[in-house]
Amino acid sequence: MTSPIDIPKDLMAASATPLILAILAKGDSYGYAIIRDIAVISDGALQWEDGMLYPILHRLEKRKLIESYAGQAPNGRKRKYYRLQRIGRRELTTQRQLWERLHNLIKTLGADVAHA
Amino acid sequence: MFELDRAVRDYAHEIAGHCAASVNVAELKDHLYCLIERYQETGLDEQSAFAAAVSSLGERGDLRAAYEADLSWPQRLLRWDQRWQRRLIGRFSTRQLTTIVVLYSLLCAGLILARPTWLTWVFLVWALPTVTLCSDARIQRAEYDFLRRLFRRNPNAR
Repeated sequence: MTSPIDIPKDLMAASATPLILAILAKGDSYGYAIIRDIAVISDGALQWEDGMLYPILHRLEKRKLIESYAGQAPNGRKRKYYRLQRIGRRELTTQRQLWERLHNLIKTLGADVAHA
Repeated sequence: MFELDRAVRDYAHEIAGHCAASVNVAELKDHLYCLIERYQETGLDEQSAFAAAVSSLGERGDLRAAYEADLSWPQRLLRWDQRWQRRLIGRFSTRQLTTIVVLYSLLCAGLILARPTWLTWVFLVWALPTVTLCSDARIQRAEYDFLRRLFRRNPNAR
């Protein structure tokens, strides 16, 4: 397990949407599982503050990128699940392209600096 | 004695317990229970696991603010109203609240019956919501006093 990355708040906020959408693209999920998945996929490098996830999920729901439905945990507890909507899938594609372009740009600039 | 269910319920209501958000409260409670179960697996007792779970969720003030940012304007107004009512209930007795409502109402009536100027209307625009707020708080305070008396008489009632 890698140590947590100290990501600035604004970058964390910007990356939250594509990360959540990407997790939901794999299948319906709920808050605790999304946070756990993020930690597992990033090998512990990305540690979100648990409580801050829900306001983001609620905002994505308002934008109709995802939708929620009531479900039940295996122990019978009420659980709110989220599923990706068609607009959300399109948004995920757009966000992926944007991040890739940014990544390539930074890489190119980095290479230029290295050669200079 | 520490009651886990009560602690979880109180916490979830404190953070997300505003109007039309019962689903959000249930969601937060579910998350809290998941965290508590995880901490209990590491050997913590209920109370310590609850404290650890709450701290994992983040700073209370930030969380409350984040939840409140999602509210629509009518919901915000209602939230503000609830907060003020709670403050009034905590500060004044039923009798004091009744006196405030009566005095305010008399003052408003007097001002309307006298020659009203624009200043009167400004005062009324400010005073009427205050009277309504005090009146609501008075009713809730009376309910609270009644329930307290009832439970004192019958401590086993729930």
